Amino acid sequence: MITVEKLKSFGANTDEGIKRCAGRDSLYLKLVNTIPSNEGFRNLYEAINNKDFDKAFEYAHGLKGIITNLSLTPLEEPIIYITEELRASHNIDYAPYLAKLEELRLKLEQL
Amino acid sequence: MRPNFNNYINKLKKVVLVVDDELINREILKAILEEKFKVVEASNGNEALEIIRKEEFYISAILLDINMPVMNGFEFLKEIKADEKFNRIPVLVLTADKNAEIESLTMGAHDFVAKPYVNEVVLTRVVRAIELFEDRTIKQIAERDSLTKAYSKNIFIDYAKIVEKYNPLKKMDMVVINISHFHLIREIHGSKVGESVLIKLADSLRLFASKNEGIVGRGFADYFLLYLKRIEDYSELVNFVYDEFEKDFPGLHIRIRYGIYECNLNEEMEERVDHAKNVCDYLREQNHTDYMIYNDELKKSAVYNETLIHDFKNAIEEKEFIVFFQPKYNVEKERIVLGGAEALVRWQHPEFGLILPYKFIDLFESNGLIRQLDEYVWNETAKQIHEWNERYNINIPVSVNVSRVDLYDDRLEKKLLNITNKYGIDNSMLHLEITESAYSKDTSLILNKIKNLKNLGFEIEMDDFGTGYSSLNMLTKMPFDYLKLDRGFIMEIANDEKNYKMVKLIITMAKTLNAKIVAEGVEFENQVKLLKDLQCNYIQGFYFSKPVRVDEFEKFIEGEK
Repeated sequence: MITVEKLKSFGANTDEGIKRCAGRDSLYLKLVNTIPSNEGFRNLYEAINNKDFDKAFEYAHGLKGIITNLSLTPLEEPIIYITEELRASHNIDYAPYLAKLEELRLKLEQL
Repeated sequence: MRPNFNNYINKLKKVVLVVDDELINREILKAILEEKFKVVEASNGNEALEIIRKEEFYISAILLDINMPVMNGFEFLKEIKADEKFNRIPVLVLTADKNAEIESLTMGAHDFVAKPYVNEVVLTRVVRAIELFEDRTIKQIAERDSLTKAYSKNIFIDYAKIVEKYNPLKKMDMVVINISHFHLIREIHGSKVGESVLIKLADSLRLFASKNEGIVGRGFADYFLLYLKRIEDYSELVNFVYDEFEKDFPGLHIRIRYGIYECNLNEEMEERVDHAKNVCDYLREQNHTDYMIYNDELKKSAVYNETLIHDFKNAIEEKEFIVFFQPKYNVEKERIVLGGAEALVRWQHPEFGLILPYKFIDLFESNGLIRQLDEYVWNETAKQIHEWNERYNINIPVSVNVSRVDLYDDRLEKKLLNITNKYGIDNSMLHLEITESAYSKDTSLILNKIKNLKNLGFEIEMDDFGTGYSSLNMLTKMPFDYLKLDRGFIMEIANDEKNYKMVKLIITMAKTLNAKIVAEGVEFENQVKLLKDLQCNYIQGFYFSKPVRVDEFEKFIEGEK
């Protein structure tokens, strides 16, 4: 069960995230709890795997929006990087960034 | 403190539509916006269009994500901007991407909100977008009636429409309020008191409205408009206003009528006002209640009235209006002789048959058609007087009605003179009947008009005397040659001594003022005898004859010969 304390230790800016949820801890936690199982992660990995970079950008962009809105700081860096690279259509190796992202998603899931 | 409409509107939560495929973003925006707005959600452009076009909510602003499945933000923008009905709703695009911003802007977006959201920025931008939008469509609150501070009718209607858009599911009522015989309050108590009464009524209605999500407007003269959340029992409103008046005007006898229309969303606001006003006007003649809700019977009557108005012009052209004559007998001497007649109009309607005037006179007075009808009757009457003179060598003076509305006509004298000239009859052959209540409104104007007519040689009759509220003072100022005693006095003259004494007093008074008395509605011999004894001059009524067509009336003329 994810708690505010655990999120803090994870490195999330919970104060900012909770403020964005009109100060409602419960709403914030409810939304954060949906992140690990968000289909966007799997869709992103698959799209990159299939070299469908337009779709991959859409998924990455969507994940970036919700991750930054919830101020899940550790996840922000890789998802922003991936999104901007995809936006710029850079042909890079996404695997290490996806691995980092997945590692953090798992960590969040296990909090 | 007068409630401010802006405050009122602000109290109603405006609706913001959030269009985003991500539940998390929608939930966060909802949390941020809910403090000030009602939030409706859609997960793609298609859903958003459906919500907007369904019009269950009046959407004040749209927050739009760009990347969405099914229909993305750009496709949605294209659709909504091409829709004339909804293209004015401000759209704020949820993006921080410069390219998307430019494209959205060229497609008609109003502003942008970047992720991650900053609560204050989101709220401020949405509020500002709505304000800019409403400033364009809503006029500023300057247009109030200067005396009562109620909204002028047009502004009232605009705001009522807005109130409805913010509360489309709420049951609302339109009420038209009027003070009976308001002119008499002014006449008797002075114009200052009259003004205070209007202000008090507006204030009381506003106070009631503020508790029932309503707004108050002034229609015209002493008509007020109230648009409010439906209340179960309108005696609450009636009693509330009554109590308010008792506080400031104890003992002032005043009747306030409330015509109520339970609103139907599909009708124009103006129509609702018309329905409520119809009820309010209908109540004028219904003394058993001061308020009534519009119902099917009234609807039928409204449709009937509309038909009469529609058919009026043709009826004049086709001479469907027929003038009947009721004889008046001179009872001054032992031998009762035909002393004249009263012209009474009937409408031979092709669909409804013969219609009696009580069904259309008030209607035509209210919309001014009465002027044409009266002129028609004067003309037909003058023609008839001329014909009787030609045929029987007899001068029969005939009374015709001159409506209150005619008295405001600058060309009234000219019209009457043209008619008497055309048929070569003496002006004194036309007796002009003016109802008592006409005298008590705009006194000086009416007084001058009647003096002019009298100076031209027309005889003036004060009609329905005893039904209005003339003060004795007014009677001495008004020039009239005949006083027509209302049937109400005659009915009980033989049974009720007080009534008899009252008639005696009126006859004495009329004689003091050098006026002759015509008693109306006389049906029985004992009434004739009593009136004769009291030295009444003329008698009219079923005792002698009901109003009849020309050919039948001519039998009375022949009887005199």
